[in-house]
Amino acid sequence: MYKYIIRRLLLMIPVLIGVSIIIFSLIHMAPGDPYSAMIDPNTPTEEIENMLRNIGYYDSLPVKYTKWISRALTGDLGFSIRYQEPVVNIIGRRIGNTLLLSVLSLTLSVVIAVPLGVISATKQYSKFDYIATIFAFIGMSLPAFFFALLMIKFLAFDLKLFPISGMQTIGSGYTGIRLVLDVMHHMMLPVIVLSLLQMASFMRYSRSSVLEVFKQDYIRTARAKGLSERLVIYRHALRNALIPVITLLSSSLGFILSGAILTETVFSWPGMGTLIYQSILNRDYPLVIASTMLLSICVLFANLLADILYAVADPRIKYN
Amino acid sequence: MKRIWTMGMLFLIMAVVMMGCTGTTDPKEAQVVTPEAPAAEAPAAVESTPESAIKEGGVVRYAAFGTAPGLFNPVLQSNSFDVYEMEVMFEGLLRKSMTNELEACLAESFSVSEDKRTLTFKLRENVKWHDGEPFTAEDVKFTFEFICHPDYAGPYSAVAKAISGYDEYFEGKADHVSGIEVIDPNTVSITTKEVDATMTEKICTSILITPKHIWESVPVKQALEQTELLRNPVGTGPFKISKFVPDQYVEMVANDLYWNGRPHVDKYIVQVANPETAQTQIINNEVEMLAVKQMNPDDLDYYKSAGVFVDTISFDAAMNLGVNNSNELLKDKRVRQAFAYAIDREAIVRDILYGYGTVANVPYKPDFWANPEDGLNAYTYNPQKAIELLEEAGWQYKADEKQMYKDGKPVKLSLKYYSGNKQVESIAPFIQQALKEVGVQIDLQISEYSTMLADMKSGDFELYIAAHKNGVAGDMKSQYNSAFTPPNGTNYSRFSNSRVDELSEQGLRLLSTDERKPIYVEIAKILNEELPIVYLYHWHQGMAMNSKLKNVQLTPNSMLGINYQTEKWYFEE
Repeated sequence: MYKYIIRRLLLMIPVLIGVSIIIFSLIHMAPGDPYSAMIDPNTPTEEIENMLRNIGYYDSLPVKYTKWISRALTGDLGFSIRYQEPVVNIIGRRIGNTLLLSVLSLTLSVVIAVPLGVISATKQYSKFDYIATIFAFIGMSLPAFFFALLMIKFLAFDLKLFPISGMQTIGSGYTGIRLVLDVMHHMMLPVIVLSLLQMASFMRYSRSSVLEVFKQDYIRTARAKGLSERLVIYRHALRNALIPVITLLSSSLGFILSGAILTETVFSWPGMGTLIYQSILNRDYPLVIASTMLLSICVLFANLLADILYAVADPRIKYN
Repeated sequence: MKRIWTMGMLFLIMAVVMMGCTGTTDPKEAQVVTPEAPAAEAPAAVESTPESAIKEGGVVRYAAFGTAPGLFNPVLQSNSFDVYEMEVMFEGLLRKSMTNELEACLAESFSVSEDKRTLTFKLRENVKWHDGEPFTAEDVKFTFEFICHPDYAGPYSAVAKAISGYDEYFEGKADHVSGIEVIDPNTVSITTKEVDATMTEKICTSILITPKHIWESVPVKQALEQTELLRNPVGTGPFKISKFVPDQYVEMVANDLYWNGRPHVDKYIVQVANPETAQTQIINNEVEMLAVKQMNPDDLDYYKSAGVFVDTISFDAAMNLGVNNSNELLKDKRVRQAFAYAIDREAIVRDILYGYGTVANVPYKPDFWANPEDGLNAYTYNPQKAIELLEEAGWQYKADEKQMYKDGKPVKLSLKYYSGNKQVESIAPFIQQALKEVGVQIDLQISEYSTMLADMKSGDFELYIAAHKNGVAGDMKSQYNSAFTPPNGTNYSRFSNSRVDELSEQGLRLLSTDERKPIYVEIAKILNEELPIVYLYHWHQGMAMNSKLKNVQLTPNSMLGINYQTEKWYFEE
């Protein structure tokens, strides 16, 4: 097992290099430059060229890549063109905000959705099952931004329960416990939107995989030998049924850092999602590459985690 | 009310008389240009409400649709989200008034020498930096030398290069720039290499003065790395920084030391918001002001019923159908004129802008001084005329197929436009349909703005839709002079006309609007006839604000549109 993990970790190196080359080439081959969108159109062209030369815009792609990778290997991810600040600082500032949203909403949705799915499966074709299924389908088919706008309309505008956007009451100068409460108040809407949307797929997955397992011979055997339904479900069925859910969960973990771009944008939440989107629009190359690389690392680790968890959940799976 | 008006006039007259006195002290100066009124007491008095109704205090929150990087040094960079704040924290020597004339700011008056190359500024006395240090001529000299420095890589090198003595300083042959001279602590003169109206205007208004005592010890090369200094800017403007939270908001507080009096409102905050939800925010009183992107009647009614006031502002720009004049099919002016006739621009203004705009036939907006009052072809919608013109240009129209042919081949053009602007996204299919009516097939190609701009630069386009901002001081050189064809400039349409080349050059050498007017009027008339690009419309941008907030003056000279005399803003009881 340890050997396997080490081998997988080593394998990540060439994968990451490949990923970095692809991302690097893609973003640099895209037309446009970091100054085209942000500078007064009356700025003379030579000025812009001068500024571009200063940031090494006119170097050839292999030269740029070599420069970048040699610095990245020493832990220097570069300097954002737009923010004129080390990329690490910018990401560091945003990552906490995104984690706050995504960890909370992911936990909430798993904690609520998986039991709902299991109940739904054990009571297949009951009223509960139908209602849950209908809601799950609504959740899956609603686009995040539309759902977010609906929530804003009902909860923030009509009922005035929550603030519409941002992370804190601006200009309030709250500190300590009041600040914590204020942030919690602001994060309610995005958390509701994110977790309701994620819940839908978790619920459907756990429902169908439990149903799948119920058809297996060993469940029939368990029932035949007179085990109580409770034991059948919780000892025999559930453990096997949760394997596909682990896959889904792990892949969600991979995107936990990317944030939900649309949800973050609608609520002006200062997280990674909006950062990546903005940095691509502004052609802030160092920032785009650093944040997308971070995402790839995250996804790779999530995949590894999924494989390890498989082995833990299912003794038949062995890695050598 | 009448009495108030008279008082206002009196103020204005007194102000002008006083300015006149200070301006004419030096008999050597041939031409004395005095800014209209100092600190514009007059408009405030005209709009006046009894003093008692002005509530001191309150917070103005502006919903900006993007984040400020927080590099608050006005000469180092010009990212618009930072400029929004710098406009109220920093000031230039002069500024543009509501009537678009040069007006006193940090300089209370200025004069131009006989050869028009030297500008002498008499600085306002008793101006203090936000940290209490006095503002002097040394700060002005420092700021201009900063942009002349060899290590300077900001957006104002072109202004620096226009100053005499720049080359010697840049090459290290001189310790100072000879064209920037401190005469006494309150007088400074700047000499340019040659007479150039746009540069003169940029020196006066675009370069915002930065404090010498803060930046002096920082090597120019490392200026952009001074995160602490950049995030805690010290200026002379009516508001000063109090809190910058990256990615969330910039909070500014009233400057108690402001030379024109402390602002009535206590705080001015620019916060990040989402355009889709900002409307709800202003109605819920979570923000006080925001730019309205779509002036559709339903939204406007909604604002109105919620008690939100919507004002409009028109920027010195036009939305255009850009045409590649170097393209074989499009280099004939009759083709471009035909396109203008084929597109019902009245309908665009009426239906897509909901009436909030005017049809454009020249780059200048109707109230600009260089806009010709008559003698313009209005290109009123006339598809029949468009077909005739195209046939004159050698195209063949096959009425049965409703298709134009040129040299036996059906005419098909591509139209590039950009995503993210709802107006542009609606105009593109409208133009496609309009040109189809005259037999021209249009292939729509949408892309992100910077992608389209790259194509405009390289010349890989036939038609595009984009807004063009006019040059400083009505300048047309950067957009229509053939010497400015990419990659050498921003003449994206690749227009070439010897008379325009000559006139646009000549206009720069004249400083006063009276002298410049006939030249730019003539350029406008040529552009109207030659139609290097098809001018579509000038739009009116909406600005929604809390109806209790008063005295906000909308001006195209502010990038945010509202940052003019912010010290006069106040909340009504």
